Amino acid sequence: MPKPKLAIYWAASCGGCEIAILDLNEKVLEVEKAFDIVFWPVALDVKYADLEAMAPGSIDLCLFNGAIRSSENEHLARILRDRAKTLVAFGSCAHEGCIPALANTTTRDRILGIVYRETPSTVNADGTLPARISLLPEGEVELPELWDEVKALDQVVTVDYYVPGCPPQPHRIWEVVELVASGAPLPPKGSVIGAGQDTCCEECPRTREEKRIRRFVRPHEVIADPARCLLDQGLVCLGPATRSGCGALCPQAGMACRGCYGPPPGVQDQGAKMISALASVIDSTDEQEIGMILDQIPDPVGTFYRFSLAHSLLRRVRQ
Amino acid sequence: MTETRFEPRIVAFLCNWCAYSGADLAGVSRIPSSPCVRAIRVMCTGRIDPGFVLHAFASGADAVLLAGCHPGDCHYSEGNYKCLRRALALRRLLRAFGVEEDRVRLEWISASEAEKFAQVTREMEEAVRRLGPLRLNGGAGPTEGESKESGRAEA
Amino acid sequence: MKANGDGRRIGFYICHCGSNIAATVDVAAVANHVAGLSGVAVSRHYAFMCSQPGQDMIARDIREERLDRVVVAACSPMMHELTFRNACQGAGLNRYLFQMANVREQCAWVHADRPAATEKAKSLARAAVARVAHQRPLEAATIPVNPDTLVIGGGIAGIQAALDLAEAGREVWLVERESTIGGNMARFDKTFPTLDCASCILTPKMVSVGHRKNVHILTQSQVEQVSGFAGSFEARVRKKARYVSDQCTACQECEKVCPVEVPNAFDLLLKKRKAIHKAFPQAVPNTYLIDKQERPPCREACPIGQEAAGYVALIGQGRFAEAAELIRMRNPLPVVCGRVCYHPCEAECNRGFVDEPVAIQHLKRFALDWQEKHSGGIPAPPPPTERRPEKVAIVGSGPAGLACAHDLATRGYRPTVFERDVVLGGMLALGIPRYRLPRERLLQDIDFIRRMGVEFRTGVEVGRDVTIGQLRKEGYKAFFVAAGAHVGVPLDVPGERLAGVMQGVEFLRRHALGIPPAVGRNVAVVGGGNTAVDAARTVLREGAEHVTILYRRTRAEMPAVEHEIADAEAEGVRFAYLRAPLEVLGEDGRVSGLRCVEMELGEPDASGRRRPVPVPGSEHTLSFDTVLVAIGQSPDLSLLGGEGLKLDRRGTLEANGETFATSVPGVFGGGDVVFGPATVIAAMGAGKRAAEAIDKYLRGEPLTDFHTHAVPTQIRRGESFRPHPYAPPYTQTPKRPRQAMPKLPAPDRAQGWEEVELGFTEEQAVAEAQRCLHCGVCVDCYQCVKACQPGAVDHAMKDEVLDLKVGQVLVTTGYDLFDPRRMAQYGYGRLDNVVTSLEFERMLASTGPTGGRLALKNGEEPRAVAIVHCVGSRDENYHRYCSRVCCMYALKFAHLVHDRTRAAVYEFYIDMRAYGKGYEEFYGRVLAEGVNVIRGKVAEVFAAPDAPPGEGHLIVRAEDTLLGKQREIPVDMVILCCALEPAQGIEALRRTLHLSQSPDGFLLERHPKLDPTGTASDGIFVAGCAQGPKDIPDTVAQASAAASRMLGLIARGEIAVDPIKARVEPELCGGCRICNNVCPYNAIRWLEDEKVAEVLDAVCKGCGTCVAACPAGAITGLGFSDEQIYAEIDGLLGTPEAASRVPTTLEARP
Repeated sequence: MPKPKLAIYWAASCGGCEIAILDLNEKVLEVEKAFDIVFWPVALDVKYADLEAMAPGSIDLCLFNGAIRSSENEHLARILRDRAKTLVAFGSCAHEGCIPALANTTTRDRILGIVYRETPSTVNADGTLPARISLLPEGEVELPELWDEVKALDQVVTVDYYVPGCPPQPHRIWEVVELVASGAPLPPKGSVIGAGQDTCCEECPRTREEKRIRRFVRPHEVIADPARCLLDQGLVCLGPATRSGCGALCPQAGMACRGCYGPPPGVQDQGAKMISALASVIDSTDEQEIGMILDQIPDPVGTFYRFSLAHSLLRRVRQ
Repeated sequence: MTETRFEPRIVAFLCNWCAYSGADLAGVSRIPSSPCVRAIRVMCTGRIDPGFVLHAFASGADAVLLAGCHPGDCHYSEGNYKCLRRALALRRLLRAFGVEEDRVRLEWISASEAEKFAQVTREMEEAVRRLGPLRLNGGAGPTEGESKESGRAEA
Repeated sequence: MKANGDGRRIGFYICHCGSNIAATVDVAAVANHVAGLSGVAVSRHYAFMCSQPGQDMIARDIREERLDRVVVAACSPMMHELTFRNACQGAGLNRYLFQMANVREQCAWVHADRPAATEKAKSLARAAVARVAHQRPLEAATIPVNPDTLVIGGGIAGIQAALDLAEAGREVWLVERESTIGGNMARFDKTFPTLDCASCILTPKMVSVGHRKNVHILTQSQVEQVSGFAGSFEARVRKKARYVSDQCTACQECEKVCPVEVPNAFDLLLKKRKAIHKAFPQAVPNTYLIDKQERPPCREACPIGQEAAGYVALIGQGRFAEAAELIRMRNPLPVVCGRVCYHPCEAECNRGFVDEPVAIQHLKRFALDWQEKHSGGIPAPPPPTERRPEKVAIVGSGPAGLACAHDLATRGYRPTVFERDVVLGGMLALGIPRYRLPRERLLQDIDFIRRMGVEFRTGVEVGRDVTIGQLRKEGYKAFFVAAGAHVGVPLDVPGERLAGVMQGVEFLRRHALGIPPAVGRNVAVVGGGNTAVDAARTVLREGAEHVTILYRRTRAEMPAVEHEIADAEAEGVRFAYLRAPLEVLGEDGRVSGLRCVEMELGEPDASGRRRPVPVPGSEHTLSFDTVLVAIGQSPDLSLLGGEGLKLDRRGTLEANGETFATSVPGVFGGGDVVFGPATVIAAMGAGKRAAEAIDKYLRGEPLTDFHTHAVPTQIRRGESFRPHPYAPPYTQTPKRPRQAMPKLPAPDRAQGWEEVELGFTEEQAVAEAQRCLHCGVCVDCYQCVKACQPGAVDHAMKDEVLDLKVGQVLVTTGYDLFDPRRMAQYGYGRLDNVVTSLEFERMLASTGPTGGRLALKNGEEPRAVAIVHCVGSRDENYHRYCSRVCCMYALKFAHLVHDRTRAAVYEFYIDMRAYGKGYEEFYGRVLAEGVNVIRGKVAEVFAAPDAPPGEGHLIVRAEDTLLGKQREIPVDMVILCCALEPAQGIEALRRTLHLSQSPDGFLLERHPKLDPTGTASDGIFVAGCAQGPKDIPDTVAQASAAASRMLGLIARGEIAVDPIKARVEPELCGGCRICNNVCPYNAIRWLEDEKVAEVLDAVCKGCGTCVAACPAGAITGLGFSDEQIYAEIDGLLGTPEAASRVPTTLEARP
């Protein structure tokens, strides 16, 4: 019987997800054994045309990483949705926007302005901006359109499964690969796979006490006690509002969780939930004092929606 | 739903013991309030999750009212303080999201303050009419129109 | 199931509520709109959904249309949610699959614009439908109902309810703030309209409730906190000490002997009562109580805690013998103190804020002199209650040693006092000159102590003649070292060794021992303390021609007692202030004079006194032939050092400040030897404390919680305080100058050794004593203790805290009267004979201030009386509500005035409200008696400028709205019918119980018609004026109603607990412990092993704050889950598709 066909694509992403796949190390060969990889720009030379030529549903599994930031990203998303039986939003970008979606705190035009005109190192006297179509001696050259809003994959096409993480942890990737390869019945569509049901805290070895926060601190302001819960020490750790699955890597390395595995099941908006939780345990009933404590958290959007802005309820900063 | 004339949509989260009873008393006393304000009853303002407010905005609300017992009066001792803290945190978040402060209002309204409740609803309607509808750019899909904006460049 | 209502069969019903809703909301349009929503199987509108047919309709649809959810859009859920839930349950649908949309109170009734109201109704309906689709069946657990009841407030309402409950055999806790139950009704004379006397109705009820075995009356008590829920509340009650136990037979003997009289609050301060008292004759419980406010400052300030105010009060009544007894009860050296005490009590005397402090010390001396003269000399000491075998040695017979010996003797020991000198008394004998403290006086006190069984050994110096070690061998178990401070501090200037230079203490000592040293004719005394002054006055009496006191500061800083300085001046002692010796000059070995320097005062030093600094170039010489140095004393521990006792830097004996224990076990130390030179009374205080410490030590008890008095660091007093709650401010207390102590004339007294102060006469003593303000009301004279045969009085009684477990709570805290001072135009508090209704009630009462006689301030009978209605009621500026009872009691007053006097009566009313049974008839009857009724609000009441005879003393100006003209009516008395206000303190109780108030400030009932005695909180009920002004019949009826409601609960035996609770999904809980301390009831438990949180169902009240707090979304709010509320928001905003944003995992949950 023929091997199931696998496609891997990167849209607006950093490539970290690809690296994560390579981090399967020798297991990567078994992926190759188990699947017939038909499309993987980072590793194979396959043209878009070849992809477009494939028949609908001809790809068994597509691991799609990266956010939807441009017409090209969206075009490929639609193609792959059509050609793939199972489309997986792979990694935080495809899952919920991730770092690229922080572009939603401003506008496309601001970004272009800064990048092509305002940065000191840029020499661009007549303020040229990238144009969709440019006439060159060689002829008409087309660039993809940069969208004003960065989206998660499921905000453009229907997604079958989500594999969270920035990047997904190799052992989790392997679980997914095994799951699909085994041909075992898959969980209900729309489910998050390759992750746990509870939160990062579950995997965090630090000891936790009752929370009573009188002051928030930033990493450079303290030397954190290696054994105690970082939140108990005033560091804003998103662990409590983040799905388990990564093995609490950051907290174990002394860095507060930043939430890349996204909201746990049953939580709709990771940032709002975390804010609610933190505010609940601020140890004051005085409006002014509460305000002062809260003001110790700079950049709430960047802090609480670092990975999930595109997927959040408000999705982007209002212009 | 496309409005010919702008009709503000204001969601009010009222605690069962004080604000909701106050709103009822406004009814019993026939004190006119704004029809734009529509109540959702919770047992305590302490139940209000900032997510509710964001969800309301995302679903088309132009403003949100949170109302509960006066400090010290909470039927559950301190739920209203939790609400106060969350509201203050939420306010900071919304500021960062570019949403005007007047779109979220926290009020302590006792079961006997019918007049105050009605007053607050009327004020909020006026405030929202001044601000106009809350258009969250997040709502719109990929805007194809943008392609027209960028012209052609000759080389 | 999908997020929206697909697959559901929801029944929707909108109520017309007659026209209440239908008039403003197009109910048909709403029904049609909802019919189109997904999951809606039936959508109807009907005239009265709450009616039986309406409920039947729902039931039928549930069965025939197989509805699995029901929504009713009608009135507020507060009103009929229960009705419809029951209807659903009746038809076999779980009662929690029902949701209500409030389209009446919060829509139809508050909007005029029909389209707008209809739109809103639609969105409220959509919200309910969207929500109900996500609701899940819930089962209400039931808990047993505790059959005991807590009734807060012992007025007629509380009494009635308690009786009804007791009648049914239930236990009742009746908590009352005052000292008696009965409330305001107990103050009334007659009651309208039947005119039967209030006490005739009330007293029997009070008595019978008092006799019930199953009614526990807690007077002087307040509820501090209440926790728990309907069926099982826990209440903490604080019961103030009454100081009289229930052995009291109310025989009134104590009242007769109590010397303190204050105005009686029960009689609105119109009548006086004693410090030990009963509010009124029929009070229940029929037990006296002592009004103890804060301790009098004089007593607080006294190192031995002498009951100064007590004996002063007794002296004020001419009860001199009792006064002396009281002094001796606590004071080991009463005679001595009467003469030489430094009297810190007077420094703290509140009378000082009026004019001068009471002459407490002189009064003490008077009492003891009187006792000696008139009651056969010094009394015999009381026999000790027990005998203690242990031997105790006391080193030193000064005030500390003697006080310790005295107290040890009263504790049953027979201590031995070792005195190194031949005379007893230490400084009392060797330091204080005879003209201040005659030796025979001192001996009276010492002799008294000897008669108590104390052994004195003079001429024995411990450390030299005998050591503590040896004494231990002799069987002494404990020691008190009180050797005093007898060594003078040297000047430390050249020439101090010259003949003629002597220490002041040494001079006085040798003088006292009868071996006076030779002194010259021109004597200098260096120093500013009492020793200096004593030395100066003594050397003067020794025949010196010139005696000069050199002091380096000014008179203001002199430590010596002021009047001693004055006496010294009067006797001719000279004072050279701001003068310090630099050198003692001498000729052939004898003093010839002092080289001095002038000083000026610089910056304050550690002691707070300004530091003297030499004035450059001001050196000069003064010639003297004798120099007495009195700049300080220190203890002589050269010998005791050998006993292994630790000394501190200041060269004094080291001892613990509280227990007085020294470094050596069993050895205690106190007085000057430890603290350095201080006062007699301070030393005595130390002696008493040491006695207690030694007693504890010998009994093997820990040296903690001492009972002997310790002077507090801060005594609470000052201009702003009052001696007690009923006393006038100091500024309004009439001044009465302090009695002057008669003394020997200065010239001749300076020649001899007779006592200078002669003591008060009886008249002086009584007059002086009556200046006392009786701070703290009870002044601790203990006369009541003596007078009480059953021994019920206990001045040491403490407040009690009771923790009660009850099933339900009834609030019957009644009302307070509006204070008419707020309406200055009526002159209350400013004009005589303008009284409040309650004051008038007391005046009418036979037990009241006038014994029921109607009298003006001057005792005459009024000729005309004005009765003013609506004072503070029906008034935009004060209370908008009608107090409901005023019209009728005003008519009652009119009748009683007619009944008891021939005075004309004018009633000023706005509307005459006679709504009750027999009221209108009563109105008619009183009119027939010839009362003048004037329809109009009184503008003002003022004193008649120059009232001609036969005219009244007050003028009432009002508009007669019937005649349409201004009228001015002369009267003698004006009665203000004041509004009924929420009782003061209700606010605190309201918060304790988490109750709501109505706009008028009274407690809010659950529903004025559906549940007038219930409150929003299950299990807590309200009755009587706490809920709103009402008359006695209504109050009693409402109280009984509440009682029957509670009996219903009790009879059912169990109560359903709302299943609206939080629940943790353990598999979703990450164990972050955020929820742990957000719960105000500590209902969330952290399971250390599983590393997850758990909600304790029984404790959770379902507020949902933990649900909002849980960052993992692991806590569900049953009945208020996220999915339900998100759906409700979507429905409200008409964006059903948004519901699908709710993560699918939510759906997977049970």
